[in-house]
Amino acid sequence: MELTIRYFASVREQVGLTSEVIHVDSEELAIDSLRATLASRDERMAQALQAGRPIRIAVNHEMVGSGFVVRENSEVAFFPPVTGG
Amino acid sequence: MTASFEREGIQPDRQHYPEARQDADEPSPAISRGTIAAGFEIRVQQAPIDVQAEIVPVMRNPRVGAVVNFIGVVRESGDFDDVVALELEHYPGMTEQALWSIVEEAMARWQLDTAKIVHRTGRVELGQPVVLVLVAAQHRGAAFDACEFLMDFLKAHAPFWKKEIRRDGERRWVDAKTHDEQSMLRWG
Repeated sequence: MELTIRYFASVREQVGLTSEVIHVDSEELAIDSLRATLASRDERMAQALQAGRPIRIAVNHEMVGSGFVVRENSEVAFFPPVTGG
Repeated sequence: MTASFEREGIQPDRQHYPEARQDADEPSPAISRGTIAAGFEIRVQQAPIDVQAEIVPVMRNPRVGAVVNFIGVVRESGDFDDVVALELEHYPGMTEQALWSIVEEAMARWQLDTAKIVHRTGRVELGQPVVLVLVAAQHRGAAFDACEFLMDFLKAHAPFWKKEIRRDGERRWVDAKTHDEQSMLRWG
């Protein structure tokens, strides 16, 4: 699977990236596994995406819970709780 | 993404004005044209929100008896004191979809003639509107309730993020407030 990862707001600033593309060998991937894998790559990513931080996740423009499983090429976005209005 | 429709008002003694260009960054100058606006629209725009231009055409719809609007305005004191502006970031693609689903939810719950959400992106100065929510219905009960619902839903779900800019140049992301997520609970 090919996943386009997008980062927004303070998450983007901490990660230092607006987006990246990653290739996943398996046919399915749980969102919390994806988050942990991204976080494990370096200290900066670990700080930004660490499990305790309140981060919201959207897959293909829909909010998902941490139990969501990605099964196809998708856009996955990580961002802080929203503050619109 | 917009799906508004505008019906030309019947104004036989008015001059014909040329059709204004519908540009995503410019609200249409509908007041002088005598247009009536109805229907359902969402818009995310870089340009300042012209509240009068958005509301006046809605009031002209002869079916409408009640118009309710909410304006979210940049104020000087948030998480910071001495705020001079906000900067709004959004998620292009998801934002429009989220705002549409909010409007569709309101349409399902109440009989509305108009529901419109206009939200800024980019820098918004102190005293300026960040968001306009506008609802028109035949009677005020639906208009008041739907307007409040749209704002509660938007605060909880619309993917925007605000950064406060202080007079001394300091910048800080606004923290989400838990009561915004809780406000949604009362709507069932």
